[in-house]
Amino acid sequence: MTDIIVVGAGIVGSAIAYRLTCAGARVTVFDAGDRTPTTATSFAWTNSNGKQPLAYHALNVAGMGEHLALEMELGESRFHHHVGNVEWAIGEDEHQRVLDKVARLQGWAYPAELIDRATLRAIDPALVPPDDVEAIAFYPSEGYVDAVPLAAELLERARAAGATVHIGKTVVAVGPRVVSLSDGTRHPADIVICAAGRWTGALVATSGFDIPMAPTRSCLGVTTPAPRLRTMLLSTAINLRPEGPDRMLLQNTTTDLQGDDLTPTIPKEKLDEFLLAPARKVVRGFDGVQIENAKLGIRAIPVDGHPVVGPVPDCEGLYVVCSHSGVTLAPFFARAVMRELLDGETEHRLTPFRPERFCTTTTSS
Amino acid sequence: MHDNDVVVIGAGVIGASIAYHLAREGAHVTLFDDADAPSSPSASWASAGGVRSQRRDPREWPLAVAAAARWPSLGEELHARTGFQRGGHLHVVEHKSDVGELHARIERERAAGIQVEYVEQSVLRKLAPALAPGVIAAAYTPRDGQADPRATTSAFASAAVRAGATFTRTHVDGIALDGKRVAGVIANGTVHEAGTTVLAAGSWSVRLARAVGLNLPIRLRAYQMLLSMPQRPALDPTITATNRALSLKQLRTGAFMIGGGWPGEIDEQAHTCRTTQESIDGNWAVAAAIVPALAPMRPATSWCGLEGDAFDGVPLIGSVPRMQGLYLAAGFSGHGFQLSPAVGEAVAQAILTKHEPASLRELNPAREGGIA
Repeated sequence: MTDIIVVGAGIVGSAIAYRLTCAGARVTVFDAGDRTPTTATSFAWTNSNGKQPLAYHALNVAGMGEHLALEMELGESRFHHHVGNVEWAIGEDEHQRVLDKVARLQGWAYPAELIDRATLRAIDPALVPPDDVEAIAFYPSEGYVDAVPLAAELLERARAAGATVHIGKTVVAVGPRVVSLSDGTRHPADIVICAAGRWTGALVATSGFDIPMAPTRSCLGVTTPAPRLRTMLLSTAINLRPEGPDRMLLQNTTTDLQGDDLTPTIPKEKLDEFLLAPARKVVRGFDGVQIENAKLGIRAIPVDGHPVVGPVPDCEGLYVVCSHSGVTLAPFFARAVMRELLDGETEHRLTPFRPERFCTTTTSS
Repeated sequence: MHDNDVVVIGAGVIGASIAYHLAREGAHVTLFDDADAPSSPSASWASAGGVRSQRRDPREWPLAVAAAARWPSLGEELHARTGFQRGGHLHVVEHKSDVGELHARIERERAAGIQVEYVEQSVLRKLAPALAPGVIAAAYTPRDGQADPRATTSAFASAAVRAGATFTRTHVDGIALDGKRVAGVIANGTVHEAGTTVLAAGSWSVRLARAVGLNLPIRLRAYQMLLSMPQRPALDPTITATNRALSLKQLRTGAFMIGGGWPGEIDEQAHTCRTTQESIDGNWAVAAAIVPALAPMRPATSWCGLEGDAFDGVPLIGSVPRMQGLYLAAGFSGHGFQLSPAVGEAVAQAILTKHEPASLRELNPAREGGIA
């Protein structure tokens, strides 16, 4: 039986722990538990909407497929919301960008269509496109997941199937077939999988390998009870989707900031400007809705924007999984990791996304 | 006295239904399976979940009619979700030359008690606008639909336990013999004795039977399923088509589930299977011919499961010659799901009354060409 340590119990780590445990591995999960995990500050939009190049798009499509399979596996659709996604753009450049994207996605056999205002009203009467919106796109295969409860469910199923789960134990260093915790203990394993979200760069660096990260931030807010949405919206000014039975999750991406401040806060006075005012312009009956809980989302993005998945060079038994789009990709990564680590197969779709690409060209002596 | 009146090997939808119906009648039942819930590569795990009463072998008609009456209220009866959605089933034809046969078959099925009607193209357009223009007519069973095979299986198993059955989650090592009589099952190194041992282990039934010298006329088969990306709701009824290896439905998620008996590749030794690109492409092309919206797309995911195909395509249900104490319910050949409520009821009746109900008579394992 293979002993595997998974570092991180976000959506990626939990999905991996679940899949590996069910496949017969002896899995131990460590998670610091005292931080706002990357998963909890995600918009949790399942999509392959703007993913380029084709190899990365294909990965996200595979992730959407694995979500469908996972959903059937878990039973009733409690975590997956197949609501479709509406996108509109304001301004000539943005308008053209949407038209080009829809054409590109259709060329890649990805469900995408341009719709008129009447069709939009039929899809979701609560959404009101401003007058200057010229192009409206609809992506019927997209949606969102309740990422935190889904991760919790996967972790619980892993535990029920025999995994050992330690929440509140912080891994401070990873090395060849070993992890070190903040309490000074060291834990050996046949394989260590680092699924530490935005902490990946710092953690993998302790093994001597550098994964340069370039996290971006977005402003997220959960509303007080709000008009019911049937779908979700991606627009130039605001992204929004249902959250729970009667709330919305708003995301402002125009305020994206580079940086890796790990204890972010949003000034209260900015919430109206960032989130509520743009939402009022596009959702019927939104007046009076307030932000109940605001957070900054920090994305786990390697510097080139693409996933890093595979064995870490020159560190035996260390395997890393880190990606933006972690929510979409988690179930695909979990199956790929299972195949690679337990069945000895190579998932060729991951070839462009291996850690080796960050190896410096100068050889060390 | 035995510990059990009945032991059931296999907690798939058939075994779980049998256990439920037995326990409901007060029998002491133990259900054996090495998994709590349907898991890969079992047939109940892989099933497409079609609940279709038409286009069946006439020998299955009595069970199909009885099952159709049970499905709408089955979830209520079992106090659990089955996912049953009544959207009807359309068996479509694309050629004028097939319409005569369609009518003739509808006549025969109606006479057997199946609620089926002929629908012409104009009605068909309204029922299922997603169908290709080349589809000219269909046989429509409005009470059919789809359900969730994994949820339904778990619902039967849980209801069985609530009714007093024991669910023993363990690997079954074999069927226990006592002389020529089947005495129960061997699991965890002991014999769990029972008056009747039900073999309902799907594709695993063949090797379990062979180990006690019984050759079942059942062949292993890998059935492939495909799922599309979710689409806007466009198809309520489930679909099959004349001269096309196709079953097709749109799930509540918006994804199209596509099957039809396209084969996967089997590793008999490991008892596993995997999909093949050839079957994936072939199956998708057939689906796209009937629902053109699928043509520009590709499958989002695919899988296959192992099933036992009976020598003549209909299940083997009944006691087994020269194997006293053994009752067989296997070889469902990829279409056992719809029948499951009726199979459980009929098998429970057969075991408890020692009198075979009429609905099972033509499915007897000793029928011509079957177990000699």
